[in-house]
Amino acid sequence: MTHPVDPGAPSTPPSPPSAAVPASPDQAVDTSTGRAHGHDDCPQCGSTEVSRKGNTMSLICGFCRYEWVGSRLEDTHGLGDGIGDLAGRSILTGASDITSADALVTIKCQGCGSEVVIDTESALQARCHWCRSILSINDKIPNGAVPDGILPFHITKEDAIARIAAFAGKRKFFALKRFRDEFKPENVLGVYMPYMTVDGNVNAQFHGKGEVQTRRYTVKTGENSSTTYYDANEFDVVRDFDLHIDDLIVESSASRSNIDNRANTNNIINSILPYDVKNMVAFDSNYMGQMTAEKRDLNIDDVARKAHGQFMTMARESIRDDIGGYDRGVRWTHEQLEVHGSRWASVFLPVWLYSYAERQDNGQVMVHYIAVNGRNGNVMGSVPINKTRLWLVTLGVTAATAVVAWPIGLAMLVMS
Amino acid sequence: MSGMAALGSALPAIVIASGDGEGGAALFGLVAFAVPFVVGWATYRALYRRYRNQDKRYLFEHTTSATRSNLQRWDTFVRERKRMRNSRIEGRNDNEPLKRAQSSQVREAMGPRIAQEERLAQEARMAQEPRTAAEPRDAQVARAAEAEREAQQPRAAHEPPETSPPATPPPPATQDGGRPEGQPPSS
Repeated sequence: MTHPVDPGAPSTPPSPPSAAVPASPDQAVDTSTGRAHGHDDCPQCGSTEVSRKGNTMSLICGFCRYEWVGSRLEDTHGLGDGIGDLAGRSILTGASDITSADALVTIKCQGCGSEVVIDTESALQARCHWCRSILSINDKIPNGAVPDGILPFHITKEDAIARIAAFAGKRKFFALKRFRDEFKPENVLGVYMPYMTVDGNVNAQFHGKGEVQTRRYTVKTGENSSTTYYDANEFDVVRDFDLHIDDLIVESSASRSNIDNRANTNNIINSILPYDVKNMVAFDSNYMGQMTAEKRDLNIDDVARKAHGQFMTMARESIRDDIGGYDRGVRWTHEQLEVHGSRWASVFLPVWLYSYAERQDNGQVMVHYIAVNGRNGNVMGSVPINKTRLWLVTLGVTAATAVVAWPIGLAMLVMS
Repeated sequence: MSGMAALGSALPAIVIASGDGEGGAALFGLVAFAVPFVVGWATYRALYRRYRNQDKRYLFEHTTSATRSNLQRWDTFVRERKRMRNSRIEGRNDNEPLKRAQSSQVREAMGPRIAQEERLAQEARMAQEPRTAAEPRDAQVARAAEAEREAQQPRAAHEPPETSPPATPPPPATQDGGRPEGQPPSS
């Protein structure tokens, strides 16, 4: 599964397998490890004291200091290749349908024989309470908790705290007083959120009308008024093309994919996408360390509709440069998308999350997030507002404008 | 501050739009009365948006890699349109990719599944073919038998009515009875 290479860069396998696009009818791309749950040993000395080395992609043994890097999923399974050959759904093992609701997994410690329970809702490792060795979930399990790949954190906690503090610092004046008083960016938590990456081999067909302006002229309609008219040629416009989409990211947690600005601030977490998923490594519990994770609870069928809608939007966006000749624009009336093939992988993506629960006037609780992309540091947030102060300032601005505008308007009315 | 700036930029436009004369002055007066409310609304909206960021989202259509190929274009002239008041086509939506068109359809092809279904259908068709090929032969046999019978019928008509019916039963009726020879059967 893993092999020693230079730390800091994802490893490349000696010979990439040609199984980028599975030929078998079941379309399954096997990313299982075949390893039993329990010890995830250092390949050098057999110790389980393995952790991530700083914020690099390397793993390091805490006992013998041996370093190695997990295999890059793009290389081992050719995820970036063969999109045009995709037919039907190709599903990596970690993105398979959830067939079990059991979150608790009992592992027998290979060190002392005791049984240790791991709650896979939020963790995929536990320390044996008898012999202190670290036990890991080493292969896919049917409850969706283990993804195919993981992108480890690159932004440190200190960096995330600084970014969150700077973001909130620029939004102090109208922030809720309790939020300002209780704001402690040190409480930020690192969490791995479940997503799916999807490649698409699609064909798009658009029909509509387009207009090209041929003349623009102004006609006098009165002593002091005029009207501008336009002449144009109208065309039937049809575009048909193939589109190969690489690594669209879709939420695979039901609670996070429910984006409703009136009831939650999930759009904040959504807005820090995308990630450099090309660099994701095959999942290894040792990359998680002390971070928690949210378990995937959506299957491909649950998110396919959303992904296909986004494919359509991407197709519409991609054709814009080709219809620039229609200077009066195009009105698309029919759009059709044929998804010939798609490839699905599940992945853990790193997010630094600061949250604040606001009890609103109607009694409901709104959780505000300030989120930092754990790879590139992009930050976005929602800060609860002191509405009284905002209304007062709005009224002040309105009044100040009225002081200027109304006398002028009144004078004009009197003059008329 | 932004409200005042908006007002500053709006006033010249209002002055130009109102034109001269008494009607223009009255219109300007009414617009000036409404301006503070517009500025207040814009201020509230801008500040609320800055704090809550409700409009922010994953800009997947710009950030996700997508390669276009095999583009085919059809641009057919329909007519010339004259004296239109709008500078843009009515219902323009090419610059709003998130909005779906009047008719929007997504179909997902299940490649192997479809291939399998097609293979099964093909096998069924191939099994069907020998039977359908046999039908014209059967029809031909029936026609030949009928011609032979018709040749015998005048002789039988001269026989006494009390004679027993012929020993061979009449040929079964075929679906293409009366069809000219060589014409394919109608489906």
